[in-house]
Amino acid sequence: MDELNDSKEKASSLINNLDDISFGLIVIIIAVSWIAIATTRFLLPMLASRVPSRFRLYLLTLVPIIRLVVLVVAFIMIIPIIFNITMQNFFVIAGAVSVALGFAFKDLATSLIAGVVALLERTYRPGDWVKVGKDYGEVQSVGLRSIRLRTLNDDIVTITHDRIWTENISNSNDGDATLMCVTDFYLAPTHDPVKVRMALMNVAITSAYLNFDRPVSVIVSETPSATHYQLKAYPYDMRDQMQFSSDLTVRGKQAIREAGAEGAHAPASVDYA
Amino acid sequence: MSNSPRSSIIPLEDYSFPDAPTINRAEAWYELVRQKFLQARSKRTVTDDHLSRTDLDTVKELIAEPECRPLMSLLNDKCKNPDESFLELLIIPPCDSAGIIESWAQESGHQVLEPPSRDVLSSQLAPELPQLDGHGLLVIPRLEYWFIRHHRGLRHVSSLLKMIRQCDRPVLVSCNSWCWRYLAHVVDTDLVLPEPIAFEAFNARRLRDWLNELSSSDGTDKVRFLDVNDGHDIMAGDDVSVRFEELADLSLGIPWVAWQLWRRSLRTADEREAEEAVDSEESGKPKATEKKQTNSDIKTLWVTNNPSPLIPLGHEPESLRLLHALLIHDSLSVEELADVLPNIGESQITSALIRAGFIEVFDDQLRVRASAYPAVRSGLSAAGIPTGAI
Repeated sequence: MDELNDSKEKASSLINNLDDISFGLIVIIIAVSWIAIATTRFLLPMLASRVPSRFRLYLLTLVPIIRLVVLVVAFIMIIPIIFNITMQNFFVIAGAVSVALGFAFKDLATSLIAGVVALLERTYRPGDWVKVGKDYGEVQSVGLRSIRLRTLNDDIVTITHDRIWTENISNSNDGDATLMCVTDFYLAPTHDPVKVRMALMNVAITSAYLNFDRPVSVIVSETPSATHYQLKAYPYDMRDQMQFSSDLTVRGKQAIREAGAEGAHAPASVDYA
Repeated sequence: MSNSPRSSIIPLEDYSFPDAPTINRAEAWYELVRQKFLQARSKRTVTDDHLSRTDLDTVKELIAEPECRPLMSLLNDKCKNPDESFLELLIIPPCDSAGIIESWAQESGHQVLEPPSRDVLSSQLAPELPQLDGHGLLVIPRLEYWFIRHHRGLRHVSSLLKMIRQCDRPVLVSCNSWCWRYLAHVVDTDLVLPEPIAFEAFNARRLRDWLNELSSSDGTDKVRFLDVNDGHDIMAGDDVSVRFEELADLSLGIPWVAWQLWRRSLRTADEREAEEAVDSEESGKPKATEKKQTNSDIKTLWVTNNPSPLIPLGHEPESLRLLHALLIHDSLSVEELADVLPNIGESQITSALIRAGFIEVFDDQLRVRASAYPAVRSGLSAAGIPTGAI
């Protein structure tokens, strides 16, 4: 009987008396937090689409950071309203939450923690171009559980944060305003590589999309049946990466023909990918 | 010009734009925010189409297109008795339709090296090496005419640079700031040519004195310039009117840009009255106007605000690429534009930009209007496209 009374006392001291809990205040905190997050999610991307492109990424990056800060502040404000926080109660709550998460919401908890880690490590930010598994695209939004990518084919792919524990995340620009585009050319080996390399260099430095403050390079290597040229350059706006690559491909093929070279005819067994 | 401090030729890296009046900067920010977030479009865009022919003729009659004599005298000082080792690179602002360097060189009797025709720049034929032999100062104006942004179009400028390196006579090379930025990065022009120099920016006082001198020097009619907002004569007195501070700021200190903006801001009285009537109708409020007694011997021109042209909505990236191509080449024909911009060279963007007042056609060549240059520069800069220093 004494043990039962002890448990009741513990329970009553763990949670504040219902009469003392201000549910109105809790609702207000939740509502204000929700409005702040919704406003941020609406306002910052809208601002980002209208300000000079060099400021765009900064604004987009702020969205998940502000949301995390708002959630943490709201959580810190609500907990003392409901619970009687002492060191002993803290361990009781933490234990209970750990058990609940461990059994019922393991995957969700993993994604949430991974989301915080990704935010702190800056693995990806809104506006970055990332590759996760086979999916490559621009990060549209970074949520608590997942990110949304818009691929080059205009598909939206939702990827949970917990992928960062098991997979390499390739970030093409890492917060920068531009990224390197690599355009491949496979040529039949019988040609003058000096001429072709110079021709491809000229193709890149005369592209309308080129950010000429960044370096341009041509890398040459031999494969079993072709000479492989990689033309590496940066567009001034990374959203133009496909147009830039297409421009380099079209004009590159013309320049290669003029340099007396021709494309390789790959045997069926050779996989260039 | 006697009252204004004499400007000089300075290193390009020391070039600084004139300061904006504080009120002007605040207004510019407000206008930017209004356009960005409220999708507001200017109701009036002042282009030649919007001014009646009579008005433009009147303005042209009263203020002849200037030759920038002050800059020419600076060049004379700079290039006085050059020795064999004299090699200078003078960067001039874009939209110089008058060709200040060529005019000065011809007037001063210096040899001018003509650029190859644009047709041969991108042809498959090997470039002919330019001949730089001779005596005296050799002037190579408009380096932007020595290349075309095409995969075959940089060979001539590379050959020219090689020849300049080996040349044993004094040489003055000039090009516009956008061409210089491009060539320095793609063909390492900066490794061959010396540190670039440039004309100092025209500040508000210098602009006022210069424009005042221009308007009074042709001697036909006396002109007074009244501010449309308060009716004050902006040329009168020792203090420089805010109008000139605004003009110096907007024109980036470039005299020919300032002159075009100035010319476009002028209205004859009838035009102004008509506009005021429209304004009053739109706002629903009578606008305070000051009627000035006009003397029959003195022509009165009203100085109005000059709204910036707007890039066609929804076509910003293509428009900016096209304007950038024009700036680094100075001017291009439609066919050359198609070579330089395979995707958009033949689209309808060109017509839209001509209509919006960004581009003008001169001898079948398209070029950026000097009056639109400030808007073009800020648009390109905002889009992250590498811009010229001036």
